[in-house]
Amino acid sequence: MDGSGLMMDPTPRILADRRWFAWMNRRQSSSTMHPLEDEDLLQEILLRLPPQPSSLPRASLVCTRWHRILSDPKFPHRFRKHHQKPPLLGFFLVVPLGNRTFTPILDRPDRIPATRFALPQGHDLPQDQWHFMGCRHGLTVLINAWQRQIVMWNPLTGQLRRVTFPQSIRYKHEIFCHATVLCADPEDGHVHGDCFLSPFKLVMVSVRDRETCACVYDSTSGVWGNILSIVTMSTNIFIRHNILVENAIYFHGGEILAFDLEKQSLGVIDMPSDVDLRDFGTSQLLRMEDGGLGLVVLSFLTIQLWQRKSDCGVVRWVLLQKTIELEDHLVPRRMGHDCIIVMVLIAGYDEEKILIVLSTTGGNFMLQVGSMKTRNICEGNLISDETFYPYTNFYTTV
Amino acid sequence: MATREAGKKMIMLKSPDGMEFEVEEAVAMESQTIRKMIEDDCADTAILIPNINSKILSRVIEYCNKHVPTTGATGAAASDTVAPAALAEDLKIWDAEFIKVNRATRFDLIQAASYLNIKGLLDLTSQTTIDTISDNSLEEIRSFLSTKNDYLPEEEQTIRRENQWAFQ
Repeated sequence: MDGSGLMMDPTPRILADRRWFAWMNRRQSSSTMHPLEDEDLLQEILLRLPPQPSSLPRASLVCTRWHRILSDPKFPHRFRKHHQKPPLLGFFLVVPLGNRTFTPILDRPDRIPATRFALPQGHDLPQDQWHFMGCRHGLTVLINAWQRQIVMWNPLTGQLRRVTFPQSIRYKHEIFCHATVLCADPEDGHVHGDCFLSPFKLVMVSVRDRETCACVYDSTSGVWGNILSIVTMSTNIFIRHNILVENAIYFHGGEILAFDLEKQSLGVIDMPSDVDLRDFGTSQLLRMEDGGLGLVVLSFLTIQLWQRKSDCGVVRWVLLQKTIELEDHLVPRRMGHDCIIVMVLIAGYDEEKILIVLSTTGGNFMLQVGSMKTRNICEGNLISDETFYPYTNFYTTV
Repeated sequence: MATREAGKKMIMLKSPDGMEFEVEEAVAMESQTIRKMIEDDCADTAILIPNINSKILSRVIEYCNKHVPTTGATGAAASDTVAPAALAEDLKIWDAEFIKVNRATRFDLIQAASYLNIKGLLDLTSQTTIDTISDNSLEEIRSFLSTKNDYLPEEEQTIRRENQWAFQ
């Protein structure tokens, strides 16, 4: 052993900070204490429980001490920060202008039943009047154009919040309305999931003939911003979905509208040549793995992948080399007789997981665009007319 | 145990059972607690780690030696030709071997990692503990931890009822 360090300074410094004093206090109270008896260390260990929904409820039953730690209001925040990416719990299946049901996709014991995703009683939100717009950051958005209201709903906690349309948007028969939410929590490293009380932005789009208007509600100020409008080539575009890419929301409705949240600008971006986005269920905007804007185009059983890229200062669509032959990936579930896939439509997507939902004559599948892995969501031998909205979140209620 | 190498600043760590470990300062600074002490003008001195015995301290130093960034002045095993992904894979394999220890040692390492504030080691030891128990039944977890079920039957029922699906 080399003792030269000690010879230079015969009195070694003792590593003694607040951790050491805390440690000594605990040691004095119990000489046999091990990490699972030390509350701080136990919390540190329990943060590593898997992010699956059954993890925390099950662990909370080990003993009352574990339950106390897991039910501490600060614990879910740390749990989300540790895991970063919430699991995909399932899909809201929504019939246009009608019914919505929740389909869990995880296996037991992580399969949260659909009944936990029902709107809370007593809020007068009938399904035929409140139209489902989609989910983001653990929140879902419903809209009622007649009542000129938007509702944000956290399905896991049942919390609801209503926002009234901007004064200048008056509902008439010929107006189509769409809305989407995004969390605007300024916390450094904020992990989405419990964003109901965080600052948020609502983006509302209304379409009438060839005029499209967009407006942003900022929860911090509690007011709607200026209305931006644009004239589109098509009339009455029907916005089917939207996607958040960097600081812009892209709305897909036969044309692609781009709303830049930072610059507060609204524009229409061109489409790849020979691609017609008006055909129902044949195209889908995506957030690519590198964070850019992507587009999936389906033609019979083949998928083409496009990405918006800057080329010599010009931003344009580039066809990626990857062409996906769906026949190689979709294995239809047999249902008493041989079942083959003869038709496919895109029925949904998840911007976080970069996956699309395919409704086929052999069942409904999700397809991970990067890995090309498929997974069956639910059975069926008819093309679904439902849209699949993914719901991802951490389940932290114990 | 590290040996003094030219151009590398060394620091002495001393365990309460009298063992001394001379390590590169960069290695010792993998511990945020030691880093703070060095940055607060305590460099060039020996540091007594008051509550980590020599057996555990030597394992902690072994971990820090392996995980110290290999670029820059300290770059012992640095290699510009090895891809980051390959290095990460190598560390992962090394970690898996390192953590093959008995439960008591692992718990001592958790405490040491927490006390010395070494995030990677705390992650590794805590995650391994959770992985060991997370697939077990409640009874198996209690038995593993030597913990008793201290719920009243009605309290347990209430919690089960709240999230019944999680116990099916």
